[in-house]
Amino acid sequence: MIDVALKNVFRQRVRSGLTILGIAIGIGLILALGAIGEGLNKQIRESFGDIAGVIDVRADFENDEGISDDVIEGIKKIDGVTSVVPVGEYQIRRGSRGMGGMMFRFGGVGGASMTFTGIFPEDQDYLIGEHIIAEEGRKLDESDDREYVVVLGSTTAENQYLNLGDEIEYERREDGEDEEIESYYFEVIGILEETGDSSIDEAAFVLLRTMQELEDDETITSLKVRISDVELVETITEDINYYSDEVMASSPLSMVRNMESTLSTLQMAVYGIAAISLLVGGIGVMNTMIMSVMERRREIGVMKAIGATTTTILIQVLEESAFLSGIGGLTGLMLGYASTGIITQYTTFTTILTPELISLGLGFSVILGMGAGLYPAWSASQLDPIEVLRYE
Amino acid sequence: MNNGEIVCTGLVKTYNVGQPNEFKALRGLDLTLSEGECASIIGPSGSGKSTLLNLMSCLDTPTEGEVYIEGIDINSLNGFEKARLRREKLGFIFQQFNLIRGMTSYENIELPMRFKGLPPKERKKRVTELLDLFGLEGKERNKPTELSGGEQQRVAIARALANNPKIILADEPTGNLDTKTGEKIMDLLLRLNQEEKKTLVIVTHDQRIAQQTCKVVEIQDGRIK
Repeated sequence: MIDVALKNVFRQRVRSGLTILGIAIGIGLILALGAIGEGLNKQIRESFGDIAGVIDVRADFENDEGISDDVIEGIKKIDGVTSVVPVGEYQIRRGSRGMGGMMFRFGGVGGASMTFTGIFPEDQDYLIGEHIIAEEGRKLDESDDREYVVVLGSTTAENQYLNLGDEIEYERREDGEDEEIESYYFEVIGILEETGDSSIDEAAFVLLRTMQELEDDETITSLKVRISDVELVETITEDINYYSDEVMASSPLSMVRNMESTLSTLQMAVYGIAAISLLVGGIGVMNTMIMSVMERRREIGVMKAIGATTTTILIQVLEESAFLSGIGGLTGLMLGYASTGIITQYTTFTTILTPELISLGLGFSVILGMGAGLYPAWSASQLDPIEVLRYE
Repeated sequence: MNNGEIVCTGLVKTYNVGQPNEFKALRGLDLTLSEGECASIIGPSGSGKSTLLNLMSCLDTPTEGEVYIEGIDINSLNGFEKARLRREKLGFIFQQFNLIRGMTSYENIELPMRFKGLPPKERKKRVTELLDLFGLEGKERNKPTELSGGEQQRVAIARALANNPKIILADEPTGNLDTKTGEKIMDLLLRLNQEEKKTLVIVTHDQRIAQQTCKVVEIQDGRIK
């Protein structure tokens, strides 16, 4: 009796239309918000690349002495730690004076700052990975000892428009009365291949000993800790923090996980809002169905009198309400699809409409329609033909 | 048994049992209508004639006594079986015609066959047959509101006959029609009785109609007078 249900829906076009709209908005909202959520998730995952088993350890803010050898040895002994590499990070101060003939250039609007990561050459393989090769030039070498050379990550080279053989100016400020500035020039001897790991791609590696000598400061302020199993990142990070007050450990992965968990909380809230709007749509369907059944009491009574079973009536009303919300769901799908398109086009959000989201939306709309139709259908099927035919 | 027989024995119907407004609509009524019989049930309003019709229609259950439709005790049937009996063994005609407003004549006539689950081809054949029989050719696409009272009642009669029942129960079939149209409808019903040997039960308070039936059952205060 699907055609009868259809006919009944079309009998009250405006009312049915508005009911459908109510469901459509709910479903559309779920799809659009869900697609934004999926997009954000993907963006986060992409921007952090596949940085995995590296934990950053820094000297605590209140620790001026740097990280002591004892602590380094201690961290090495923590379960799951495979290597501990001391690094030094040196901020490049941007040169603002026009220096004729200098190879030093900053790309991009307004220039960009850059950080030198000082390492010991023997630690290079631990930090960068033995299998990562230099696309141009070469990697650092033991023989480079105390030389002014730099190896760039692929992103750094690209963003700063730097090529093999270019020189980067490093300005050393002497804290004194006359604030003397000394410039040192580092030659680009290698550019690494792209790794997908931002901690490498966006770095510029120099020799730690060169930097220590240059700055006349041998304190270690930063460590990179490599671990055996990515799954242990959180545990080991905690272990390190627990082990010493001198240092603060953090991992990009735990940051990603934090962000993901924040995002999923946010997503739950958003889905909650969408669910409420869908619930309102469902109440609309219920309302429409109750009205429709009320108006057709006599008709339903007649149908029962001439031989329709309770089940026939029940199913017919259910079909009607499932049809209303089904059409609502499809319209919502189109709405959701259109709005994600618009969002992608006009905002910076990436949206991903996954098949799961689509089936979730459609499934939800049908379940909602059935649920909302249950009571009206039941009450219609229980109508007493005698009563209805006598009094209406 | 498929003989169009209706037997009522010791029918008692009491409404609001045990309440201050308890009301006995039927107080022990016996009635037998055999195959092909044509009876009218008359009586003043409140006499219990509608109650009797409801009981014969399987829409209501008696407080005491039994109703047998073609030998089947309707007290022994569940809701589903009663619905089946209504659509297969009984044809209903109402004073208000009671056609489904949103449906065309064709669809209205088709309805009992859809409830029965007949295939579309068979339904179409029967509907066409009935449209012809009642002079409704060309009206099959019309909605009830586009039809005259007489036409509506003819569609209703066609609907009552859709599953070819042996028994026709009519409740004031001419009550909403002018005299002339009413006569035509009565002729039609009587013809069905005579030509197709349908058992015809007409509830009416119109003496002229009652006179046309072979048996007049007069009810007063819940009993046959």
